[in-house]
Amino acid sequence: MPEDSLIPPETMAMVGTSTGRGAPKVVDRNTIGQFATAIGSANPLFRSDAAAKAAGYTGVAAPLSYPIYNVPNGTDRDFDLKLPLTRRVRGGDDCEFIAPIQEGDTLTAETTLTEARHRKGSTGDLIITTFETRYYNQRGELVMIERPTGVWR
Amino acid sequence: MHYFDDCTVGKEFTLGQRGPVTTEMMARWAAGSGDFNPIHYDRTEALRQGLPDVIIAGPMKFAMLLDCLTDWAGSQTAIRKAKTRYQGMDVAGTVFTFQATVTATDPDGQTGAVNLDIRAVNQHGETTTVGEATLVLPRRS
Repeated sequence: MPEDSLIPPETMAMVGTSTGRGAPKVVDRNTIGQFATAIGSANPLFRSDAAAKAAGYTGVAAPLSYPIYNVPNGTDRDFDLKLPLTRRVRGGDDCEFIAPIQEGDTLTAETTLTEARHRKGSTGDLIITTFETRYYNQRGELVMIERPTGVWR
Repeated sequence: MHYFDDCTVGKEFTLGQRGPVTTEMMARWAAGSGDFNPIHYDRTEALRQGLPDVIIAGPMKFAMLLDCLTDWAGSQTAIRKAKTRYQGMDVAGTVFTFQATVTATDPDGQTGAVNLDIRAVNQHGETTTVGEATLVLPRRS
């Protein structure tokens, strides 16, 4: 870590640590429908049992990024990161979709802080944080990995 | 739907369009996602913070992009990886066109893997989200 890093040592010490498994959350049809409505999707996978079953799902399908939307997944708030910059925007998302998720599944998330770094941008100091969240279903199978980037200024 | 055989390096596709994104859609997204940062649904607060209007949450743009990519691929299970970078802001009323360019294909065609550059372009022609995706597509025949 450079001498002049804005990131406090207690925050750097959290890199590589995890909050542990979060609260399990059942994937339900109403929430799937609300997701589809919010994004203006007409995909029948999200509303029709027949369409979802024909595609190999056991209930209506969850949209691919559903876990980000509706599963308690551990964030900077759960980590209570101590940072001298307070305005955060989401810089990006990076997902691996490993197994299908559908109505009736129960998902549990575990999040690790994977990176915190200070950088001088053209508009001033920036701190970049990256988390990795692994989502598991009720059989303990890893179904998705998500790596969101936060940009603090 | 699209097949592996449709994809050659450099080929461009329009994946689909979404919008205009209404404040109602944005409020529904906030409620479902639990992201109650007021810049995503409260115009008074967004303007007070110096923003031009309420801002569409990055993951909401990602969800719309994935929905269009699913329509294009013909299934969700074809999509193995996707990443995005939110390089510009989009406000209420935005109409998105989601586009892709093929950057690599499985050389021997055995796995059907295809890599795409993906992006969201708004009605002003601004590319506000960029990213990459890896899909596995079926072969024709």
